[in-house]
Amino acid sequence: MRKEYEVVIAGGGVYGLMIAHNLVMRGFGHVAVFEANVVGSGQSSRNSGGVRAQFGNEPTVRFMSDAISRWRRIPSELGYNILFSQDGYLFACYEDEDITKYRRARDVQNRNGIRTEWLEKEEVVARIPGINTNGLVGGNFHSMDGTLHHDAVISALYFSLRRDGVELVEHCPVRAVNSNGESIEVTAGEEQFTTQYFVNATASRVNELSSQLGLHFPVTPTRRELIATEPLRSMMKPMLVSLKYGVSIHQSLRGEYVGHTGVPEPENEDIKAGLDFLMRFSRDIIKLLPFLKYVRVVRQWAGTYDVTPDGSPVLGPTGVERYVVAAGSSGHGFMMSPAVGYWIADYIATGKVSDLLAPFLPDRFSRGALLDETLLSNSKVL
Amino acid sequence: MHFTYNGRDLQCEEGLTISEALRSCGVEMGSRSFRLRRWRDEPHPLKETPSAWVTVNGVPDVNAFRTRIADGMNVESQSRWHPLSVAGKYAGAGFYYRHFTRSEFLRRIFFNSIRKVSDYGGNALNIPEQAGIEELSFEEASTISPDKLIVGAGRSGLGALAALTGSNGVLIVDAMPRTMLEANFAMEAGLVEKYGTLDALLKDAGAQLIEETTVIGAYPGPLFCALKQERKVLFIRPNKTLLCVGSEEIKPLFRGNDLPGVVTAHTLRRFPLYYKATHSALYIEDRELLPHLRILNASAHFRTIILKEQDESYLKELQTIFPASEIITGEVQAAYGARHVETIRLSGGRRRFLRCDLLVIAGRRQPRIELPSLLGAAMRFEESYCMPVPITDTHYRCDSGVYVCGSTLSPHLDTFSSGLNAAIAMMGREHAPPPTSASAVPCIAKAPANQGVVCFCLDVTARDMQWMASNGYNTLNRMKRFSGLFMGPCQGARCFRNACEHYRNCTGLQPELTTIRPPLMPVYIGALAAGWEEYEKGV
Repeated sequence: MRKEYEVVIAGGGVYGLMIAHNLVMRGFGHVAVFEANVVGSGQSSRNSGGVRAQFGNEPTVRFMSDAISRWRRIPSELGYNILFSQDGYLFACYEDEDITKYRRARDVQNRNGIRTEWLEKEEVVARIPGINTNGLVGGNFHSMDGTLHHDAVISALYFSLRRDGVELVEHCPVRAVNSNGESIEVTAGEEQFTTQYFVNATASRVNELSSQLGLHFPVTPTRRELIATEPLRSMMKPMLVSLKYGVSIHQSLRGEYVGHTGVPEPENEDIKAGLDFLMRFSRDIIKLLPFLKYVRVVRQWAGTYDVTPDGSPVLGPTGVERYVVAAGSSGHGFMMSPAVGYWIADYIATGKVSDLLAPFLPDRFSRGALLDETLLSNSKVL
Repeated sequence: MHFTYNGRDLQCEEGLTISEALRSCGVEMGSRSFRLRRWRDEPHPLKETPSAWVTVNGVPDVNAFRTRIADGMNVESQSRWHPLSVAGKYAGAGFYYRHFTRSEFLRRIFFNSIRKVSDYGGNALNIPEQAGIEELSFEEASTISPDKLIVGAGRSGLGALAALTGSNGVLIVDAMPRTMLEANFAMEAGLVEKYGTLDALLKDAGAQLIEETTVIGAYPGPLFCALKQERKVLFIRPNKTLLCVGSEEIKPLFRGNDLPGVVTAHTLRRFPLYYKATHSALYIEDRELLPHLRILNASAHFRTIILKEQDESYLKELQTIFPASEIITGEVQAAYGARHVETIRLSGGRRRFLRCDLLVIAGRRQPRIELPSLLGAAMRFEESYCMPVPITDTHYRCDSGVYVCGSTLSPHLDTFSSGLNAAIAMMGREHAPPPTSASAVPCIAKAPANQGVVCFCLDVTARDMQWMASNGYNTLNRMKRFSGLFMGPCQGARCFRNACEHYRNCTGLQPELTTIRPPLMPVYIGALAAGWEEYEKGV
C-alpha cells in the first residue's frame, strides 16, 4: 500500500468498481478500492440484473437513458460479454388500476428520448404467453430496456481493474476517515494514508464512516428476496412487471424464471432467505402467470435495498470537501452504475457537477427538492 | 399397456412412468445436456436430474421421468442438435462471457441462439392440458408441532428411535418411500429380533412416521418446511430436533463418470427397473455396510466386484454375499462408451480394461450439511470428506440448537450407535459423547487426473475448474459465479465434495463453504401457493 492516493473508494460493489474503472479511463494512476468482504459480495451479486429507463421522474429517466448507452459499450470496454440483452420491460396494466398513470409515465419518458409505447392486450399476450388475461388492458413497453448478468459484470470489472493497476484490497474495511482540508486521512486495515478524494460507495453502511465527519444520509436497509425456478424452454423475452400484483419476473438466457416482489420487508439487514417471501411470492405470481403453478422453485436468495426517502440514490459531493458519496440506490443501483461511475469520475476530474448528476445531490433533502417516483411504484420503490 | 415409441409397438406393465416403461422394454432413451450435449439418463433419488423430454400424442416437451404411461400413448423422442452445441464443447468454462464482446449485432444472434439451445427444460405452458396426462393437483398445507422431530429414518434415525422407547410425541420424516424404509429396518438384526416390524418400533417409541417427505427449508424458530410427495407442504414446529440426515452417495471424478450406466448404489436400489445389464460391476470405494450390499444383490447380480483397498476380512465377507462374483482390487480410472458405458479402465501396473455395461458405485459419501447450515451452525473442516461439517459439542448439539449425528459428522462413525447416543443426549440423559475425528484419513491420496464431470446439472468439468483456478478464479465462490457450479437443480448435492477435492488439487487451498440456499429440493410453486392459508394462520 502507498502513503498517498489520488482517489480511495470504500466499497467494492458495482458502484465502487465502476467509479474506479472510469477514473482509470480518465488517467488517474493511484486509485484504490477497499472492500470489507469480497468484491461484489453485497447487492451486486444478489440482484436480478434488470436495466430499465422506464421511471416516473425525469431526472432518473435521463440518467438511465445515458446509462443504457454506456451499458452497450461496456462489453468492448472491459473485453467481457456481460450478456446484456435488450428485450424490453413490459409494465402490464389491468383494468382496476389507474390507467392514466401509465399514460403520464409514457409522457415523462417520451419527452426525454425514451420511446416507450403502449401495447394493446393482444400485443401483450403475444409477447408474454400465458399471462393472466382477466382484466388485462395493455401495457407500457420500452424495447431498449433489458437484462444483464450481474456476476459477469463484477467479474469483468474485477479482472479489468486488476489489469489496469488499481489496488483492489479485499477483506479490508476502511475504519476511519478524517478531513484536514488539504486531503482526507484514511485508516484501512492496519495502515494509515492520505488521499485527495474519498468516495463512499458502501450502500447501507454509508453512515458508519460519514458520521465520523459529521455527515448523515437518510439511507435505511430493507430486505428483498428473489427466487429462481428450474430452467424451461425460452418463452418470455421481456421483463414483466405487474404493479397490481406487486411482482416482477423475467426468464434468464438459461431458461430460469427469476422473480421478486415489490413489497418491502421490515427494516433489517439480515440476508438469509425467508419463508414469508417464498409463500407470498408463490401466492402472487400464479395470479399473474398461472402456468407457473407447475414449475418448481430451485433456489431463493436475499439481499438488501438501501432506501432513501424519495427512492433515488444520493450521488456526488457532500458538505465535506473531497468527500463524495454514491449510495442509497433503493433497488435500481446496478442499472445506473455505468453512468454513476462516469459522472462521479467526471466530477472528481473536473470539479463540476454535471446536469445529469445534479438532481441526485445529497443536499436535495435539506433543500426539499425530492424526486417523485410514485407514478411507477406502489410503494415508493419497485 | 400398449404404446408406441418412434413408431415401434411396445408393451409394458401398468403404473410405470414413460422412462421406466421404455427401460423395461430394453429401449434406451436419454437426453442431451445443455452445454456439452453429453448423453445422460439417470433419475436421481432425491433431486431432479434435468430430465429427458419426449413428444406425447403430438405434444412436445412432456417430462418422461414424471409422466405415467397410458394405454395407446404415442411417444416420440426429441433430441435436438444446434450449431452452438459444437462450440460449447470446446469453449470451456464461462464461454458465454468470453465471446462476442465487440459486435452488438453478433451478440444479439448469440443470445437468441442460447435461448433456442435450451431444450434443457420443458415448455411449461403444455403441462398438463393437451397430452392427455393427469393433471397435477396440490393439497393444502398442514402444520405439525411435535415434541421431538427426527429428520431421516436411515441407520442413525433407527438408532434414535431405539433410544426413544417409552416416549411419545415423536415425529420422524424421511424422503424415501415406505418399502425402502422397511428394507432399511430389516437390515438391523438387533432391531428385527427385538421388535419384528418397523411399525412395532414406531409404536414403542411413540413415533409417527411420514415417508416421502423431504425437509426443504429451516427457518428461525426452528420452523421446518417439508414437502410431502411434492404435492403438499408441511410446516413443522418441534421443540427438539435431531438431524439424522446422514450423507448422500455420490460418484467420484473420473473420465466418463457422467455416462449413462454409471450410477450410485442408491440409485439402483431406488430404480431397479431401469437397469438390466449383462456385464455389471460394483465398485466399492469405501467400506460400505454389508447389509446394504446384501439388499443391492437382490436387484442386480454383479459379475465383478471391484474393491478400491485390499482388505482381507472384508473380502471374505463379500465372498459370502456375492458367491458368484469375481472380486478384484483396483481403482476405477475411466469409463468409456458412446451412448452408454461399455468398458471401464482400472488402475494397476499395466492398464486393465473390463467390459462393463453397468457400473455401480458404492461407498463414496457427501455429508448432508444443508440443514445445519441453513440454521446457521458453525462448521469445521473434516479432512476425510474434504468438506466443512457442523461442529457439535459433547451432547451432539450444534450451536443452532439442533442435534446432529451420524455420517454427517464423519465417515468413520458407527451410525446406529451415533443416532442412539444423540437421541439419549437430546432427552437429557447420560450418553456416550461423540468421538472426535482423531484418525482422519487425508482426503486425497494422490492427485487424480483432470477429467470427469463435476457438476452434472450445468456441465462443469474438472478441466473447467482447472482452467478457472489458473485464470484468477481462485475461490469456490468465484468459480461458482463464473460457471454456475452448484446453481443447478441439485444445488451441489451430487458434486460439492468432488468440487472441494478438485479445488484443493488445483489451488492447494482449503475450500470454503458456499452459501446453501433453500429450498433443498425443487418445489412446485403451486404447492407453495396452496399452502398460503395455513402459513398465514401460523404467522
